[in-house]
Amino acid sequence: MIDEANAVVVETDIEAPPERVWRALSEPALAVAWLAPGQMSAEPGERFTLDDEGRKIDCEVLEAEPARRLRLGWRDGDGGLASEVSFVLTPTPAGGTHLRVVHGPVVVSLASVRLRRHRPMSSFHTSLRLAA
Amino acid sequence: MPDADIFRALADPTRRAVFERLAGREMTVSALKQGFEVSQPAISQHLASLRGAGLVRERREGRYAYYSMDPGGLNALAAWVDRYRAFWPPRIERLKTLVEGLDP
Repeated sequence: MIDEANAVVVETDIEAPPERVWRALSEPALAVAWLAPGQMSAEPGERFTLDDEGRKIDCEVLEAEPARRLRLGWRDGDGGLASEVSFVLTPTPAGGTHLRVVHGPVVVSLASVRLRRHRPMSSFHTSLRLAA
Repeated sequence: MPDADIFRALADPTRRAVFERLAGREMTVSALKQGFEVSQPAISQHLASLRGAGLVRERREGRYAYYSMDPGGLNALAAWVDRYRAFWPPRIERLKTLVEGLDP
């Protein structure tokens, strides 16, 4: 599990049902358009590599419930840090989707690190609510 | 690059506690051991893992070794946070625009 106190969290409301949002997470041709070039997948156990403007990101599908939830193992290439990203889709009463993205290390508390750093990290937890 | 091991090194609760105790100070293994119900060799093992991940550094003085947090490791963590704090919002905006434009 990702400890949300130590994660980057982004939320938004989308005017489309979860099934349609799921297509953007599971179809490589669509994922390229918003995320990064690569063979994005939503099949548990599948591995794929994203190319973020020359920076490789190695991913593995850890959990996939169509139209509800996708959890990816995420590792920055060339020996970078390993983390997890989860996408949770919740239907809204208006027929749209609330999307919540949580990206963070697994089980890490960094409270003391934040307090003692030379250059203060404003907060490890970043929660952003994008305009609907 | 030691970065690969940072999150993993901190995932162990005892190791994390050892690391956090070093915040802002330098300590020997025997001083660090106080308050932990694990052996001194176990503490040394945790310190070795933390050093391997670039989170802790060692300074030798005579027969003693002193341990402290390594600023390099902390900077790697901060860089990770900065990178992904900037990474996700524009992408999620693009996803929203893309999905809302898809045919039903």
